[in-house]
Amino acid sequence: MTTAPDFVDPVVGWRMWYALEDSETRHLSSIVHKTAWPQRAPLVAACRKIRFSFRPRKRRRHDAPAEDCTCGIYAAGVSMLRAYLPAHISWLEHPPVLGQVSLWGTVCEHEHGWRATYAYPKRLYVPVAGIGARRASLILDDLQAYGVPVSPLESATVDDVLEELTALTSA
Amino acid sequence: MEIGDPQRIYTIEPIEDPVPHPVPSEPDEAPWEASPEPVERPLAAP
Repeated sequence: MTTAPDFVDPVVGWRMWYALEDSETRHLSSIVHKTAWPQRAPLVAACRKIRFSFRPRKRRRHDAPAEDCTCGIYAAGVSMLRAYLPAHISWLEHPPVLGQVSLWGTVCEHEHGWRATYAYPKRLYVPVAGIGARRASLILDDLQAYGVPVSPLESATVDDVLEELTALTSA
Repeated sequence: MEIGDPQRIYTIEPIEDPVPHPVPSEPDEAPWEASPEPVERPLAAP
């Protein structure tokens, strides 16, 4: 038996990725689990939490996201990005990419964000200050493969980046 | 990512695919050729 969905428009939240360099090209990678985000296909959530329990029912794998777990693909409001950015963007180990992401499937709504089954970037912003013109150009070019708008952000500090993002998205 | 306490759970099935798909390139247009003129044949005698 199939059930009707509750909504037909994806949730749109914000998140941060790294632009990971992989031999010749650059792609989006989650910052915590280092998951590579596929191009032209949704990322599908899987629960990676290992539960040790003597009760088999508790150990059973489940579809992500589950209400009583922390699994799923995360996104949040733009202000939550601050927690993942150092004072100066260039202090990060890998070039960061900020952007909006569409979420759908099963969606767990939280106070400040969401966890979902499926996700795909909707719009990408690359802070280019301090990474060099050539490297910035390669990242901007390679991320076009996702088929969504990709724009540079000129600001160098976290405050300025968030201000620039807010101005761009409210324009 | 710290997103606070859970509030509710629901399902979303987008009508439009959130994943952009490349626009297929149009095949080269074949040059237009006029159809051959029908050949007039004399009616066969009954």
